[in-house]
Amino acid sequence: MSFRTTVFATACLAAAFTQAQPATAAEKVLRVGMATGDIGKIDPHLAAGTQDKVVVGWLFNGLVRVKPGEATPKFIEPDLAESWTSSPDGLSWTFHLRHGVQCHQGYGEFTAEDVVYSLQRAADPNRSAYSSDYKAIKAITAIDKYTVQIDYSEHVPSVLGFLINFQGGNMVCKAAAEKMGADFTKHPIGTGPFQFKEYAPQQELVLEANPAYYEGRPKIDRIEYRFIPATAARDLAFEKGEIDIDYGQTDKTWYSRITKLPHTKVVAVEPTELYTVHINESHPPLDNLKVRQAIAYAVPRDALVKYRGEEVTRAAKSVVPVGYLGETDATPLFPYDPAKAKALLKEAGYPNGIKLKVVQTSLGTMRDTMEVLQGQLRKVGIDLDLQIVEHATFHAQIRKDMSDLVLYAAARYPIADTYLSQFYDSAATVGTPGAVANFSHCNVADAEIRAARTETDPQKQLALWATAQKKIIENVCSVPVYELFNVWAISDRVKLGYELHGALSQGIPIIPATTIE
Amino acid sequence: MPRPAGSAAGRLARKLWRIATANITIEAGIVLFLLVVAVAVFAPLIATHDPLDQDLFERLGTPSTEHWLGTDSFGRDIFSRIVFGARISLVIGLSAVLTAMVVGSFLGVLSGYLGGWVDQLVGQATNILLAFPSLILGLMVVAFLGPSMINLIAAIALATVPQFVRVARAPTVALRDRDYIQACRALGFSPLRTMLRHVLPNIWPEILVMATLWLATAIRVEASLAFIGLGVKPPTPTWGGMIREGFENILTSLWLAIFPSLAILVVVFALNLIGDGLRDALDPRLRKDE
Repeated sequence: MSFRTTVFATACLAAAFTQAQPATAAEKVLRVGMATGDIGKIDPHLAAGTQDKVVVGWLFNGLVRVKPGEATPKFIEPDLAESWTSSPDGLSWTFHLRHGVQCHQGYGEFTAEDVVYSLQRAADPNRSAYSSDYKAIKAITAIDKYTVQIDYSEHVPSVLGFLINFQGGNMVCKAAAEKMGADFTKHPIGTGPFQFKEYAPQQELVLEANPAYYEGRPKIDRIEYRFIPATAARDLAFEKGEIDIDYGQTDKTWYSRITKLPHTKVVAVEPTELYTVHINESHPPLDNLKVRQAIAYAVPRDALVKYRGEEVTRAAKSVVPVGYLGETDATPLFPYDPAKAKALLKEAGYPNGIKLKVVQTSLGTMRDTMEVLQGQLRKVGIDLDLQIVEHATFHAQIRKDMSDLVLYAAARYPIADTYLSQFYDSAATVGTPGAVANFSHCNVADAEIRAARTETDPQKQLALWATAQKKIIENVCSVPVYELFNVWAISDRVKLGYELHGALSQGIPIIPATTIE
Repeated sequence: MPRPAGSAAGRLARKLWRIATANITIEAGIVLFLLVVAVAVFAPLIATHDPLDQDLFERLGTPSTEHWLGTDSFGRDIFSRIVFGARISLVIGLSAVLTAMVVGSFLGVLSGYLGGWVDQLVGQATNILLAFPSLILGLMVVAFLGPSMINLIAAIALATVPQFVRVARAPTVALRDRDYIQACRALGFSPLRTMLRHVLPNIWPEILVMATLWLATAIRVEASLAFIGLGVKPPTPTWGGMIREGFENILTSLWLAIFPSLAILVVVFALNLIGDGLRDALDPRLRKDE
C-alpha cells in the first residue's frame, strides 16, 4: 500500500468514526453480569438453568402473562391473547389473539398457526423439557388467523398458568423454529421486547430492542448479557460501573457487602428455589424408613437459614415451596434432633453409621449446600462420599439413578401440582419412560396427586394436596432444606418502570418503559 | 566389582550425609522441609480443631485466639485445615515423584543402555508426553479418570516420568562405552545386573536433584488441580482447594486464600533450596566456578 493510499484510508476511517460517535453516545445500553461461564439453551421449551431462563424472559411472550414485577398467578393478564372464553365444562378454551404482533427479525406476523405449533412443541417430550405440563391437551385448533381453541381431555389444575410467559407457555415463531432446527437453542426468535443480535461463546450475548414490539419500542436499545462466573470478578465489574445489573450470591456475606455500596439497590426476587435432598429409596440402606428418618432428623434447618442469611433465605415448610397454591405446613417437617438420628440409625442396625455415595454438581450454591449438609450429617455418623462433577454431568448421572441422595434446587409454576407431579408422582420416576425428576422413587401419594390434578372443587383439591404432602413427609421421600431467593444488585441509573416483587424468569424483567440514565 | 551389602549401605549413607551438609542452602532447605514433614506427621497433635468440624455460626471469622488463622465459609478452623492439608500435599507429591522416579529412571537406563528399538520406543513416548505442560497432562488424566487420590498420584506421576527418563538416559549413554562397563559385558554379567549395580550408582545424583525439583512442581500441580476443582474429594482439606474456596470470598476475607498460599510457598521454597544446593554440590563445573 502506497503512502498516499494509507493516508487516504486513515482519513476515511477517522471520518467514519467521527460520524458514528454521536449515535453510539446516545445509545442506551444495559449491561448485565451473569454468574455463568456460558449460555446453555435459550430455547424457552428447553431452558432449565437460571442463566438461560433470564434471557428467555426478555425474548418471549405467552398467550397470557404474569404482570411484570410479580410472580404469582393472581396477577395473570392478557399478553399475546387479548381475551379468552371457556366452555361451561371448562374443557374447551378459546383465545383471541392480538392483531399485528410481529416475530423478531422479519419472520412475519404472529398468528394462530404459531400458537398451535408452540403448544404442540411444548407438549412433545423430544422437543420440550416441560411436556408433562401439557399432557392433558387433546387438540389445539386454529379457528382462524387470530383465534385458537384448546381442548383438554381432563381438568388441569391451572389452564392459564401453563399458558403464561414461563417455560412451555412461551410462544415461539413457527417459521423461525422450523428453519433453524437445533440452532434455535442459540438463536431464538420470539415476539418479546428484545431480540437476538449476536452471541460470543463464553463472553456475552447481545440483544437489541425489538422495534416492532406490540407495547412499543423499548427505551433500552441494547442488552449486553455478560458471562462472568466468578462472583468476586462480577462484583468488581459492578463496583467499577462496567455492568449495571449484577447477579448476586445468595449469601449473607455478599448481601451485606453489596448493600453498603453507594447508588445500589439490592433485590431478593421471588420465586425462591427450594433446595431439597431427595432420598433414593431404591438404594439400600435407604429403603429403610428409620435410616431416612435419621437423615431428616440430622438436618439443622434453622441453623442453615441463619448460616446463609435470613435476608436471602427462608426455611422450607413442606415438600412444596412456601406460597405455592396448595402448599401447607399442616404436617410439620422433622425437627433437628441429632440424638434421635443416631438412635434411629442404631435401631435400623447401623450403630457405626452409614456411608452414602452422592453425585454432586460443582455449581456454587448447590455445592456449598451439599458440603454443609455433609458436615452436619457427619455429626450423626452419616458419611457422604461426594463425587463432584460438572453441572451437565450431574444432571445426566442423577437421571441414571447413580446417586443415593440428590440435592435439587428448583422453582416451578407456583401451584402444588407442578412440584408434586414432577418430584413425587411415581410416573415421573427417573429411569422410567415418563421420567421427570422423581429421584427418590417416591410412590406413596400417587392417588392424591393424580386425583388433585383433575379435581374441579377447589376445597377438595386443597385437601388432596395436603394429604399428599403429609404422606410424602411421613415417608421421608425427601428432606426439604431451605428456599433461596435470587438476589440482584441494580445500579440506581437503571429505572425499571414498574414495582419489582418477583419474576418467574428469575431475572429482572426489562419492559419497554425500563431505561438507563 | 560387587562389594558386601553392609559396607555399600554405609558408604551410601556417608555420601548422602556429605551431600546433605555440603552447603548452607541445602541445610536450610532440608530443615524447612523436615519441619513441614513433621507438621504433616504430627498433624493430629498440632491441629487445634477437627479440620472437618463445621461451626455454622462462626463462618468467615477473622484470626483470633480461638482460631489462629480464622475460619472458612463453613466455619472450619483454617489453621487445622492447613496442618492436615500438608499431609495431602506431601503424600500426593512424594508418591507421585517416587513413582515417576522409579519408573522413569528404569526406563531411562534401559533405553540408554540397550539402545536400538527400545530406545526409539521410549524416546518417542517421552517426546509425546513432554509435548504437554505437566499441569495440562495432569488435568487431562484427572478429567478422564475422575478426581481421587490415586488418580491424582497417577496423573502427576505420568506428567513427571519423562523428566526422569531423560535425566537417566543421557548419562547412561555416556557410560555405556566406558571400559569398566565393557569389562562387565566381557565377564558375562547380565544386562540387568550391569544396569543396577554399575550404571545406576553412577547416575543417581542427577536423579536426586531432579526429584527434589520435581517434588516442588508436583505439589504445585496438585494444588492447581485442586484449585480448578479436580482435587481430592471434599471435605478433605487440601491447600489448592482452600485457595479456591478463599478466592470466592476474596473481597471480604482475604486471609482465606493467603494462608494456604503461604503454606505452598514455604514447601516449594524449601524444595527449591534443596534442589539448588544439590546442583551446586554435585556439579564439579559449578564448584570450580565458585
